[in-house]
Amino acid sequence: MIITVKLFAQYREGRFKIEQKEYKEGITAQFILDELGISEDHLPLGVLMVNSRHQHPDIVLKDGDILALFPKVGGG
Amino acid sequence: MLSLISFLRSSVQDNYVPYSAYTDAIKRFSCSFREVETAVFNEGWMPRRYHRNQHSLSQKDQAKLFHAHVLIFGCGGLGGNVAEFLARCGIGTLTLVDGDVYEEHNLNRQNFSTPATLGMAKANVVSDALMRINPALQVNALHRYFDSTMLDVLNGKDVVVDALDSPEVKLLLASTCKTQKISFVHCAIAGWIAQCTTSTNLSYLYKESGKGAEANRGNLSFTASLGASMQAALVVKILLGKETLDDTLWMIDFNDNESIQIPMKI
Repeated sequence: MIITVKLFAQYREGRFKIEQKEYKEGITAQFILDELGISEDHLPLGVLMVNSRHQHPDIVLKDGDILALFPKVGGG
Repeated sequence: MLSLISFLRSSVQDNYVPYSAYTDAIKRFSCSFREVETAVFNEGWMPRRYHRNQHSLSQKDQAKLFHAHVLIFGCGGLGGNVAEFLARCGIGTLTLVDGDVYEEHNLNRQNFSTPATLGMAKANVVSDALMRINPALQVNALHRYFDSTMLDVLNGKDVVVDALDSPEVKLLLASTCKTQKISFVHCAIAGWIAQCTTSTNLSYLYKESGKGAEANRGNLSFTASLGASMQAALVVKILLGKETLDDTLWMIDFNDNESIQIPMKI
């Protein structure tokens, strides 16, 4: 299946803004987070959206889904 | 015997009352700056300091802001700047809450931090600075951290400003405002990124406890100022009944010159 991944803010560093890739059926958003090396240690996950709706990383993705990932922003 | 109003009336020009009339009135009538400013607004006049707000804010708007009470949690990069923007825009009463003192690493972005203020309570320093900007303000400073034991400080406030630096505490504040039905303005910054919303659904942003990208990327001076500007504008818009961001998170990425709107509705 084809998933479009949109990265925002600091997640783009060393990666991309938008990319379409082929993935095997049944993977979750967490799989892509892991594949991209988005680790809790340095840039924790903030907003995660699939097709413009807020979701959790364990959501199972479907062909044509658009996954948007934002780092957590919590400073003041 | 000349009354304060009659005395002030003689100084009005194009509906504006100059600061010199305030200082003269205080000497003559042994009143406070606040009493003079209250009289100015009640008579339908404007303090001349707000001349450059004209036509963007009406006299009625300006009077509404003067009679408002805004509560700001956090007096750091966001809060210190928000406090200054709101004071200069005309908010009449501010309560500032922050348990921190200034530290050296604040000097890159916290507007009232200087080498001379290191070690001093932020809430107190900001409060003193605001009173120097406009002695007609009322500013209350609480040198405390916000927690679940002080929820009643929100009572009677018109707008609550989330200028905190802990996602966990931001969540507590948001849910408290939701429960108490008090208008809420969230902002957060990290590196080149600032985000704001008037929604209390911050669980979309903070799924787990712990800091965000700011722990690793810091916060730049202009990012703090940008976020504070967004917040101050939203506070004024709430008070004046203008369109806010109840269903949207507005994020600005200064690095990529991007503005993004993220839905916040369930």
